[in-house]
Amino acid sequence: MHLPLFSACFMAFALTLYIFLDGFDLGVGMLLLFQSDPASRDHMVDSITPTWDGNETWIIMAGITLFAAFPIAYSILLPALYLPIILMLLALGFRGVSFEFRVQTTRHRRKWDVAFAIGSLVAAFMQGLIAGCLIQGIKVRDLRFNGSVLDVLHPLPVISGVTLAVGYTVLGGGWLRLKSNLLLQEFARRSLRVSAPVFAVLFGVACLYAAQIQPGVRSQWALHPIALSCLLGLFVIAAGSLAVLAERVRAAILLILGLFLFVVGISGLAWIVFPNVVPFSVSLWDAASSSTSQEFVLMGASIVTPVVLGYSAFAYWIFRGRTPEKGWEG
Amino acid sequence: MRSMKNFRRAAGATGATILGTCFFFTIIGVFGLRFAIAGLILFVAIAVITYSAFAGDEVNL
Amino acid sequence: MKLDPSVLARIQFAFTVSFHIMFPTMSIGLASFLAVMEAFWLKTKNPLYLQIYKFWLSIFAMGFGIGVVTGIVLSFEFGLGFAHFAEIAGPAIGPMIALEVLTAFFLEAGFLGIMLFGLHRVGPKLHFFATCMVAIGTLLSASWILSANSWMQTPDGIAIHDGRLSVVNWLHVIVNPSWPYRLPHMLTAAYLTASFMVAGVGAWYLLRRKYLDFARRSVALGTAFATVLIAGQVFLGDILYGTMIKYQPSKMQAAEGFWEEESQSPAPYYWFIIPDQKNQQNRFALGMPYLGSIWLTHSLDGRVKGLKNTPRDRQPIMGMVFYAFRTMYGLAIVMFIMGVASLWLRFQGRLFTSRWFLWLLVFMTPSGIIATLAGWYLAETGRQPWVIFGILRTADAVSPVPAQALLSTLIAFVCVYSVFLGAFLIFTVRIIRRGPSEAPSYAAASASLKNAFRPHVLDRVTRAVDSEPALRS
Repeated sequence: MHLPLFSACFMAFALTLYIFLDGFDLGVGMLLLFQSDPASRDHMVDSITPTWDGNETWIIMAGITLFAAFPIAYSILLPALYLPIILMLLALGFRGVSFEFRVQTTRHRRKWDVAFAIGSLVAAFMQGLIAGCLIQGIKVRDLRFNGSVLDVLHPLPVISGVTLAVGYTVLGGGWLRLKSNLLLQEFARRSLRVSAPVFAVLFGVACLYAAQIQPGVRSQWALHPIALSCLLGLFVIAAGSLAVLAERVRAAILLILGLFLFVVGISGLAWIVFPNVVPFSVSLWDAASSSTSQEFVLMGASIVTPVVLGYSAFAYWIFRGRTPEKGWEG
Repeated sequence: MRSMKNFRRAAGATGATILGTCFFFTIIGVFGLRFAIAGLILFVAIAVITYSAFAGDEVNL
Repeated sequence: MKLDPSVLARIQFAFTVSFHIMFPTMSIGLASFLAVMEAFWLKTKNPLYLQIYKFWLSIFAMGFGIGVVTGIVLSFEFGLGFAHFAEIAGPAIGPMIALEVLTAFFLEAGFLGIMLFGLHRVGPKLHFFATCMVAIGTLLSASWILSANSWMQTPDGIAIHDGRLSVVNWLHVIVNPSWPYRLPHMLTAAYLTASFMVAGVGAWYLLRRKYLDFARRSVALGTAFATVLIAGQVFLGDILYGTMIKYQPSKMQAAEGFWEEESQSPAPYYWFIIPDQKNQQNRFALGMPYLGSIWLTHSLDGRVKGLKNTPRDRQPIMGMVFYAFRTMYGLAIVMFIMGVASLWLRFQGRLFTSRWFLWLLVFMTPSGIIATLAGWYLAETGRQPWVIFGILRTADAVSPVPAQALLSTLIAFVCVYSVFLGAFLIFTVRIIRRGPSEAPSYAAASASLKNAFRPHVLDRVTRAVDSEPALRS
């Protein structure tokens, strides 16, 4: 009875962790577009190089949990979101290989940096597109996808795509403020003064538009007005603080504020979508696989996840502190 | 003397080829599973001995 | 022109998975090779082993990166191209792949950073531990995904109610009938791939008379491993063959090129056929007499079962299965010959000087990848028309996605993956050309010693720092 709920929690946990960790990776990637000094660009990429692989793995975890625990939802959502998912995968591919390829050349490094940045941008945009499309609603009939692959090309998904991309640059700025040299810290601060307010405004617009076009959103607001308003309020305060306090506080605070923004945003989204896994028509329980499968995943997850978190934290600890100016070779 | 050397080399190579072919047929089970396992173990043993004993100028492997 | 979505979905999946498999095959082999090299270096303190380690580390890093991103594509492509398959099989293989992510992907990813970038950040023992963790991660990854694919080949441990699958026995799902044989076969294939890559590069340098120590050790290591491994591989292959005759007779019937229920006696071993699936016969067939009976029935006059033993609507396409098998098996025979030759030459003390053999090694550098690809084509085309053997047909498993979307994304994949492969090959050739401890062009290192990530520069810098006290930080 409760198994699908636990599986959904684990999936949400994996997705949230992905958004945090790859959020600042993709954010740094996008910020490359605004950085004209090659040595600074190298430094920016260095700051995320040792840990990007583990970060990206959390999205696989989320996707595969969906596959294992809610195969019906997986089989509906993936064809529905066919184009943005494939474009996101190709973009993440370019971003991933650019890490390895850009250091093999100096003449063409700028081209790989552009591939890196655009890959990051497209991936972020597609993820937002997917979120917006989910809120917009997926056409389902008899537990099969019944719409068109072009359903993604509507205003709400597009606004959400831009919103998320800007949001990731907030996280990227926070990360750079924490990990990079003085020159880049200044760059990070300047970016936060722009990205944080823009993110807040776009998020607000997206929320309003979503309420307007999706009755499911409106009904959730009607049911829980206080809770959702609080979340929205927290969001605005946090975004405001980010923009205003950019130079006055310790570096870690900025990144934490950024992550907090995302926690609030994700909580709001989860509140609105629950108990459906395919908004707004298929519930967790409708889409779930049999209990033996849920049990297997949850048992494995509960034993292995603490270990994974342990050595992942260890890896971050090994590469702690400011990123060395000369890179990682000593 | 060169022809003697070449003849010996050719004879040795032919011998190696015949032996190798016999091993191949045995290992893929033409004579049954037991011979296949025995053949595999024998072949690996010969390989390991050859690589440790006949090193040329290599020392550590 | 009317495009068939199911054909396009299959072509797309075939393309992405074929491209992907090349890289983990290299990564699994190289990761273990690197662990062994680092172990030798730590034990013997011979700098040659560190030189070998660093040389292959950068090639490994590139290949691993491409493997990861192309692998992420696959974990979503089940649902993208074959949503109905995902819906049906999710309860069985979904949890297996979830555990692959948890136990293997995170392990590799978590320690890869330390392995690639931590050489000067952590002590040698911790670094070796990181290398080992990455190697173990690749092994675990292979185990789980082989289990999932083997379950598709020989499903077990499940019950079907109302068209939905549920797992009744996890042990039977994971340790399904073909997995215990397919896993060692794939792992050996990966190790063979790395062995021939290492030997081939060494042979190239020997022919060019450069980096002689590195080259000789590479050829020695590569051929030694390859010889032992190929013997094990053909042994495993024969055992697997027997298993598949039992559980997927249609695949093995198609693989040998015989059509009639019972072939003639004695049966030849076909090397070349022009099959005619429509008329259920071969228009032309060329083979070695007697060898079919000997190899396939272990007797001098045995008859081989042909594809007509399988009903027509359950037959795989003989041409694809046959030639995939011959490619893989043919390369295995060549590898075995190379192994025996390497033993003979070693015995004679001519291993590093026999030019014909060195040239053969150079040509055999990519042999492991080609053989592995061929083996997978045998496995997957031989399973057709099923996607889950005996349970779900491929044609019934396709997503409700229009053909145009499938075609345009297929084209996108081909373009993007071509860039990946092209860059990988260009940079690998460059690394090979530069050689193991060649002096760098400092211009290439630019203002920051960023390129000191490159192994050869690392050596130079380390030596410079070690000899100049003022430079030590």
